[in-house]
Amino acid sequence: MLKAGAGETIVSRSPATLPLERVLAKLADSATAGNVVLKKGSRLRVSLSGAWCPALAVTIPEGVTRWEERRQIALASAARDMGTDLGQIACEIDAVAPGAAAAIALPMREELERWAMQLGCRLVSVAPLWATATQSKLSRQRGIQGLLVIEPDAATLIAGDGKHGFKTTTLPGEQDAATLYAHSQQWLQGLGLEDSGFARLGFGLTAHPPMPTGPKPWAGHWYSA
Amino acid sequence: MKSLNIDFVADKRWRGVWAATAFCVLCLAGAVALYWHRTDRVLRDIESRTATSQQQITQLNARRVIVADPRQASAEQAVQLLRQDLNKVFASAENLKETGVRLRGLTLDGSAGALRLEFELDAMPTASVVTAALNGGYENRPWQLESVTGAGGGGQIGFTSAQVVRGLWIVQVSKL
Repeated sequence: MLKAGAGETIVSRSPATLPLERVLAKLADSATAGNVVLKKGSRLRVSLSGAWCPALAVTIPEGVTRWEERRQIALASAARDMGTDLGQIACEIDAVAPGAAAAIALPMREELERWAMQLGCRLVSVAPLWATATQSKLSRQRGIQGLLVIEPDAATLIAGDGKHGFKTTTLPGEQDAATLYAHSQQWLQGLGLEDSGFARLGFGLTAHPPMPTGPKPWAGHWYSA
Repeated sequence: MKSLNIDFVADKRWRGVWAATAFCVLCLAGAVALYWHRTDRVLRDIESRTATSQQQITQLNARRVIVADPRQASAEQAVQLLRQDLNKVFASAENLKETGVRLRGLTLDGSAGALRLEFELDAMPTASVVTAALNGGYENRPWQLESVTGAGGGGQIGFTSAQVVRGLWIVQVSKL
């Protein structure tokens, strides 16, 4: 999906097996076909779905407070969970909240940078969409302790531990409602959380009625699940 | 629930903030260094001038010729004379009531602090009487007969001349 300013969102569907390079090229072609012009030097913000950038649970040992140490631990943990080498992935954590981490393949980031350069744009942000969802009014409401972000290709569960920490997990692939409900209930019970403090946000490729408590980026695509 | 902020691209806005901060800090440090340098230069200049002035003062002091005051000695002598108590001397001379003894001269040597009395005596033995009279009341016997000279006849004209002698007594004023 591509959106320039207040213009219409360009949606380009691609098979999951298509290489990213071609996915991006196809998206750019769709934008050109839809008369969406990206100005040279404009800032490009990329939101990655849970399938591209899964949420990972990282356990940071107590006493480790330095940012770089926590980042290295998260990277090692992500590489172990994803079954890959440290040099193959990039892992980022929240500056203050331990427990949640996001990882992407390094070639993907390089491909995104190359694509932005080809478009003449400045790549200023590459962030997971589920992390953006936690910045919504809905998830920041009092009493909300957990959030389920349903995307077309993945579902991500995020829960705060009441202090600063987070627990996260991503279920890749399209999930049917029953399975997702059962899994989320089980996950909530495992954390000792109640269903009443659990919010559900859905992200759709097609436009939905505006959601005042939804995230501001990609507004019009969020819905209450 | 708190929000998560995860991004794979570092926020470059902070670089601008840091760069601006570093620039400000550098400017401040530069200004402080410049101010310090100027102050140091002024201080060195002042020290240099002070040293030069001190040197000049020393040279001028070395060249200075101490001119002795010609009145210094006489002034000191005058002060010394004023301090001397001559009442006792005069009292000794006045209290001498011996017959045949006449005071002929009084000499005060201010620099030596000595006073001389010259008496004319009718007879030589009177000299010892005069000495005893002058030393009356003093245990240390300050008056001393310095000399006795015969004056020959010369006393009263027309009378049979007796032997007239002149005795000179000296005393240190400070001993009285």
